Amino acid sequence: MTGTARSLVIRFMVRAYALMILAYPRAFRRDFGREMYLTFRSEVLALSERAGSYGLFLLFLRILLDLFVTLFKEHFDMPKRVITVAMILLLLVVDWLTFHDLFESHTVRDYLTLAASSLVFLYVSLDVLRSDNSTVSRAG
Amino acid sequence: MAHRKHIESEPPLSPAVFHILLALATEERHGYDIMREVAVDTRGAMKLGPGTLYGCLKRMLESGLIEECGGRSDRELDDERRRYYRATEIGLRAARYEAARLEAAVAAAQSKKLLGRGLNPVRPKP
Repeated sequence: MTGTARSLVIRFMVRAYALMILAYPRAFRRDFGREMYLTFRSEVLALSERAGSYGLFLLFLRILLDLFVTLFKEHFDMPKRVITVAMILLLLVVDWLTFHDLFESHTVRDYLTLAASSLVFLYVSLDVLRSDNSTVSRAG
Repeated sequence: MAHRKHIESEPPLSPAVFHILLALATEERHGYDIMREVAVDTRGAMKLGPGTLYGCLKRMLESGLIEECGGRSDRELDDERRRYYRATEIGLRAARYEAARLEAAVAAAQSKKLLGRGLNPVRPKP
């Protein structure tokens, strides 16, 4: 590859990656977008001298794979929390509607609803405690 | 014995997090430098993409394994200002526990003759 062609390919790859970064959540992009761009550009420049056009092609494939995997991860982070909070609120409403009148007689189904929601609260609490103690293992 | 119990109670680190901590164990580094160091440490077996690297760094910052130590440019690369990271005490301790866990795994593999000097890694027959 000639010098001009190489610099064109590098420019294209770097611009394409800058566009790809836009697919990440805004908060993640704000915190790390610029750093990701710089890191990718440094990698492309280093690899273009070492490995030539084939190396750059492989790098681009690897980056595409990395993008798809991490995009899902970063976008899923937020909805998971939102869904959990919504689920807890909904169960609290159901429990309140079922048991707000203490003098009303309750059926087995009511007690099963309460037991099921208590188990969900317990599970969520344990999950929160575990992630507080160690977000470590999930950090990757 | 107490030390061993502590190791067991510590959650395992993912390979990416462990290698990032190893890269930051001796000095402060910016993202690209971490990426290069991990590739060197793993003899090219682990090549972190920017998405994976910064996703890990984000979670490691949140969990206190690493901390940011300002921004400056790396004259060897370009004049762009980059953010540098370093391992915290918590991070170093987690890396030590993970290393001890891996050491125990290696010892177990050696005792079962799956690993040793002059031995090739055992591959399952097709």
